[in-house]
Amino acid sequence: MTDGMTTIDRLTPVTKRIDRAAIRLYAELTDDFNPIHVDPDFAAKTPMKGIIAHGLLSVNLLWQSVRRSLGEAAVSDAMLDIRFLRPVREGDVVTAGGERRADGDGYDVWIDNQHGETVIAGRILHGPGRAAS
Amino acid sequence: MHLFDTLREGASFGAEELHLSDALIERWTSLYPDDPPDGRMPAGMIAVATMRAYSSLVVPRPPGNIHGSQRYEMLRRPAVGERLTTRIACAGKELKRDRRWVHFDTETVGEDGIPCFRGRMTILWAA
Repeated sequence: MTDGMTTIDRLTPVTKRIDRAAIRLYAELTDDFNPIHVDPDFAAKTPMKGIIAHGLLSVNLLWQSVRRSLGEAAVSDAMLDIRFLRPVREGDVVTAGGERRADGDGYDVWIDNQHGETVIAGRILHGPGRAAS
Repeated sequence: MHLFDTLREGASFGAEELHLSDALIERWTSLYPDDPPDGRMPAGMIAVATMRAYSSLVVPRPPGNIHGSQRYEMLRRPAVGERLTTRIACAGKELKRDRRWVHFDTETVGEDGIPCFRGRMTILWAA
């Protein structure tokens, strides 16, 4: 851990409902109008069988969880590495959280949906040892 | 159209500028009201800089691509009002179990030319 950074075992959970308005606004913010996010007719014909949210829309909850739990330094000096495991569908309620890794090297982080399914998972590392492997 | 077969490892797609204007920050906080108004870019807005560069520069793309994974390295949070420049390049591609994966590297620098953050995005390419 970086000097002066708080160390706790579990990150404070952050929850958000991902509705169509949020998906549309995120498309505008990121200029990502992939039809699988914004075109119901196109999305219905894909293997996803409907609109899915941008994966990164939910990832901001991880940044918020880390900031609330560990403070500003943990956000401004961090390596976040995540995989998108399941789609987040419009209307889903997602919760971001994390747990300190057993080896003490950062935190395992995740985002779960309202069904308890993990939709995004990864890790966040801080300070000098954060180099990606 | 950038197809899996024609994307070339190492290819650079150029640079995209982003002004961290008050209006843009207000749009962001209308979606995420809990992000702190501390005069610096909320961390999640890394995605705004990098995805805008990807969306603007890696074109045209086949419809239906899916974001598979993402790595971000935050070096500093830029100040509100700063103008950022993001460069994007193809870091490689691979075919695994009939799925086409493409990796892109991004680097965003501030007005002083010093990097603010870096990223690697992996996309399941549709065609």
